[in-house]
Formats: sequence, C-alpha cells, structure tokens
Amino acid sequence: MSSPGSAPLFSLRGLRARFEGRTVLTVDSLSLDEGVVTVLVGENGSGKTTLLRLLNGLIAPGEGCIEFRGEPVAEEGLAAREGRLAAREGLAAVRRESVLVHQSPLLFRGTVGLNVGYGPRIRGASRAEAAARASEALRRVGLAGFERRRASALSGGEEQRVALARALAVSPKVLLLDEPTANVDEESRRGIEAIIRDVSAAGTTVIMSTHNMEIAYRLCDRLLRLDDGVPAEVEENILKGRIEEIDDQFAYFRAGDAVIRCPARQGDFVVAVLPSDELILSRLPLDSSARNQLNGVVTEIRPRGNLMLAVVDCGVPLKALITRQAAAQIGVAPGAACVVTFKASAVRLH
Amino acid sequence: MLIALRRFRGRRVLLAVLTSLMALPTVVVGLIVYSLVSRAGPLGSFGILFTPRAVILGQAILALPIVVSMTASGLSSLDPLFPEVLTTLGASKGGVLWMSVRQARGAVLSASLASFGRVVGEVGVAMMLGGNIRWYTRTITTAIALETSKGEFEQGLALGIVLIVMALGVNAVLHWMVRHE
Repeated sequence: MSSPGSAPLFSLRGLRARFEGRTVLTVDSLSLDEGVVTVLVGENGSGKTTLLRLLNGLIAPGEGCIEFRGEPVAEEGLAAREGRLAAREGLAAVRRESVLVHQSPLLFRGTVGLNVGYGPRIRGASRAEAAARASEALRRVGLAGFERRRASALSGGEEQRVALARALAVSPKVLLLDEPTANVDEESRRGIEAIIRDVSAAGTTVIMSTHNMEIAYRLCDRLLRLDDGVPAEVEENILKGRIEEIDDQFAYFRAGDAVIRCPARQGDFVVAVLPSDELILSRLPLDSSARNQLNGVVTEIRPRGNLMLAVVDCGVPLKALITRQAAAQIGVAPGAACVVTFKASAVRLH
Repeated sequence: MLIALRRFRGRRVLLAVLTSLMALPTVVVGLIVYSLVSRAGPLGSFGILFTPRAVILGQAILALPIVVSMTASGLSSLDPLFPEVLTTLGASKGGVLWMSVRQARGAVLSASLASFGRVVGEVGVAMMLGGNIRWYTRTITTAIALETSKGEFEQGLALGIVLIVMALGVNAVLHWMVRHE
C-alpha cells in the first residue's frame, strides 16, 4: 500500500495510442488513485477498452508514458525495444498486482474450478491452494459450489461472474473491469454491482468502464468521461447518501449534512446527481419556484474555461458553474456566505 | 511452429504452401529423401538409407504439413483476445502457448489422427526408404504389398485386417483421452 502523498497508482503523460492508423486515445496528463472506484464512461469506440488494456500493460502506447506506482509500465512505443526493457520492472509489478476482466467472459473449456483456479495455479500456487482460492473467489461472487460445473453450461450472468471470480482468485490489488455489466440481464447487473461494491470495500482499487450511467453513478468515487479518446472529469455533483423521507411531493435525500428535495420516487437510491450548471448562487434567498435553497460558505473558486467553478459547502460540497461577471457581482470568494438554489427536478436519483 | 497465434507477413502464403504440401504424393517424398540420403546424396555420409531412421524421416516429412496447418487453423479459431486473458491472469509466453494448445485440443487431436492415418497406411516412403527388409524395415503395408504380389491373398488380407483394427484402436484411444481430460 502506498502512503498518502506518494506517487499515484497510475500516472499517464503525453499518451497517444493508435490503433489501425487511427488515434483512439489522447491523454495529456491523468492520475488514477489507489483505493477508490474510478468509472470511465463514454460511447463505444471512445477508447475505454484501450485505456484499460494500456493500464494492464497488455498493449504498448504509440507515444507517451504510463507509470504504475512511479515505475514506468510502457514508454515511447517508437523506441519499442529499449522502452520495453526499461519498463520491465513496472510491467512486472502491474501484471502482479492488477488483473483485467474483459467485456466478454472468454471462459476456458472445462470446469468452472479449472477456470477460476487457473490464475493462482499459473502464479505458482499448489493445486490444493489454487482450489481453495477458487472456492473462496466463487463464494465472493455468489457461486459457491460451482467448481465442478462445466463452463459451457452456464448462463450469461453466471459466465460474467465466473470471469470476475477468475480475476479475484489471484487477489489483485487493482481490478480493471471492461463493461462488467454489458452482457447481462437486470438482475445479474444488480448482483455484479454488489460484488464490485464489496470488492472495493475490501480495499481493492477498481477501475472500470461502462456505458450504463446508472451503474456509473452508483459505483463511482470518481467519474471520467472519454470523448473520442480524450478523458475529462464529469461536471456534475454526484452526491452519495440515502433517502430519509418521502411525502406525496418530494423525496428527501440526505447527503452529508445536507437534505435535498428531489421528485418523489420509490426505490433503493444511493446517489443524487446534480449538474453543476443547474445551481444558482446568490447573496440572499431568492423568491423563486425552485424548491431547494441551501445556505453555505464558498470554500474554493477556480477558473474552468470561460466560467468559474465555485465549491460551496452546504453540509455537503456542491460545485456550481457561474460566469466571471456573476461571480464578481455577488462577491463569490472563499469564506463568503451564499445561498445555493436549484429546482427539485434538476436532481436525478440513481 | 505454433506461431499460428501471431499475424506475420507471409503467414497466409506459408499456410497455403503447407496446405498444398498435405497432398504431396508419398512416392515423391520417398524419391526426394532417397536422393538426399543415398550414398551419393548430400546426406549420404550418415548411411541411413534402408534403415528405420530413413523411414521415420520420410514419414515425418509427410506428417509435418498436416500437423502444422491443422493445428494452426485450430488455434486461429480461438478468440483473438484469448492470449490476452491468459496474460492478464499471469501466464508467461510459454504458458499462453500451452493453454492455447490445450484449449484447441480438438484441432490438435484431428491433426494427429489425420497425420497418423496418412503415415500408417502409406507404402511409397516405407518401400523406397526402408527397402522392405524382413525383421528390419518391413512394415505391415509393405508386407501386404509383398504378399499380394506373391499371390498370397489370404495372408495380405489378414494383415490388412490387423492394420485396420490398429488404426481404429488408436483413434478410439485418442478420442477417449481427450474426452476424459
């Protein structure tokens, strides 16, 4: 485990990955932290899979550098031979500590036990130890006792979970998941979400891609959007919490010390999403139809393109995008008190 | 030879050549190897003509294209991401190769059976390179050819039945082994 303040888990610089002559990924600078769930979202072909394969050292970038705990995994594909030699230690470390689960399960022919025990076995565990680890991994994905089933006789959701167990059996510190819920039905999706939550709670770093925003919001500690191979932070307030109360008009969602009114909906919601540009800042309470008015204190303000991003602590930090002119007019500065106003209907529950 | 997993320049040409070599007439292989290993040939100093070694060499040349091209097509039917899955789980290059062959074992089995079939029932190479020497390089096929030319049909037929039973037996055993792996 790295101590806080040391090198991030992964750091990427000046990365250009080409695939069949097309640049599929462009990362100027990106750090990924240990111990959190990072979710990559984006359209098909936006470079999510390429990024995961690069992180695991399965492919080399055309240009640029990837470091794992400060050690280069791959560098400058142009000087591939020397780059690869220099990267040997970082690559060995990343292979030892991380595992990628591909989008399609790609199970081996044979039993489930053979599949899940393969990783420990090839990494040097004895037959008995591999079997024990396989059983434990299967238990974690809710398939205890499946060891002797044939891999070819499983349902789609079961296959996906066996693929997950196969990766978990090597006790990875970093779990890379490519679209773990793409090929499964709603019920299995919930199951896989619970497994990922559980794995993360046990201290494993998770970096996953998905195009299911529901899953992304519910699982992420950090959400990154890939647009045509360029990653960007998502400009939304993603608030973790739970519903405290529901009346006939509103659901009252508690996040931190703030309670937010949302359109009344029944369900097991754990996240409220509030786009940063739906927030209005003012010095005094507004006389408006908006149903949420929270008092807060500005803690941070920084430029974001032509706009300013203000972080306001209302019991939970809220990010608001405002124009420079507006910021000056109402005197937004760190330490200033202000009122944050937004409509209940601007809040989406997941 | 199992570089079937890789895509390299000239791979298709190589596979095409191998496929056509599968149809190589056995007497031609016999003739070529004969000219190589006969006393006056480039490999004549080894003195292996009319020994079991010469027969083995000839038969290996016959079997090789079958084994290579059928194994290659079996391996390329695996998912292209398959080696990557093995790598991320911790397999070395050798481990990837071994597991790939095991996963494609149906194709590997067909390859061995096809080459066994070609070799076991073959007369040309055995006759030309072995010389059909009694108790030394006489094979069942050359024995059948001899008995038939002597007019001993019963003897030839009996040997033929032995050969067929043997071929069936080997097939059955190999199939059973793959089924119960």
